Amino acid sequence: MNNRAFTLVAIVFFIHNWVMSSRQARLEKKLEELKNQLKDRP
Amino acid sequence: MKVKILAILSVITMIPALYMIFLFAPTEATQGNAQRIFYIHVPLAVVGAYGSAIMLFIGCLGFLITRDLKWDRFAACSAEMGVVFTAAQLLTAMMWAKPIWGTWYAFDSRGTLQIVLLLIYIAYFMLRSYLPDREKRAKLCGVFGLLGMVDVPINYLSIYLFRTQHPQPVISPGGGGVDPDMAKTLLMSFIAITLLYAYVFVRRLTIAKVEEEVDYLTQVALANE
Repeated sequence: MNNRAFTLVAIVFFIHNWVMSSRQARLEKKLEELKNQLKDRP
Repeated sequence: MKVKILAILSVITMIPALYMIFLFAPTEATQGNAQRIFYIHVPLAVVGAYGSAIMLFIGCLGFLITRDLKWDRFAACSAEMGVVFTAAQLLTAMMWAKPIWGTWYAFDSRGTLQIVLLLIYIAYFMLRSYLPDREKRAKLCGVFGLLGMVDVPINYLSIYLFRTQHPQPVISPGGGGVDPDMAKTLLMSFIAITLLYAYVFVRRLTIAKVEEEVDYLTQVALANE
């Protein structure tokens, strides 16, 4: 039961970290696109 | 840079913490190996669940006093930490309860109030998602965050106030204390979990800043069209 408990906690943090990483990558890409879009405008 | 340092420190402290939990700490006489869950369950509850509640309270109060939106961002990140850490803590509680109590969950006061705390964090996010206006959202969520924190002192004191199946105090006031090696292990776990919390929180705060920048630039781009 101990191993399962520690594994479950590790899974919770892994999933949260993974979601944060993908969110960060998506946002940084969008930010870059928006900056370029605004730069091109007169 | 700060995020990377915290990530490295978190990993560096987690390794000795796990070593101490599984190999250094003596096996408890009555509960056996299941008691080792205590070393991660308690820091997750204190640092994660209660710590997030205190930070959420500070964030909400900070916003309502100063009207500075950075406090709202701080509160939202604290609430997210609350969801993750309280969920992890409840999972460890269930994994401990099964071999010791013979059931995954007993409707005792501490456990129920801990679930209420998790639901308060989730409700805070539901409220945020229903309010598109930034100022209004910050104001209403600030009030909700403050009211939600009523659960925390009752939750903490529940083992003193009510008849409960939850173990009686061990290290908190009125507790019997633990073996010195168990105390060292618990301290190491507290350090590791605190650093993990700091890492995840600072990272989430960084993402929240980028989110706001994206929202602002989207509005500028739409206004220019």
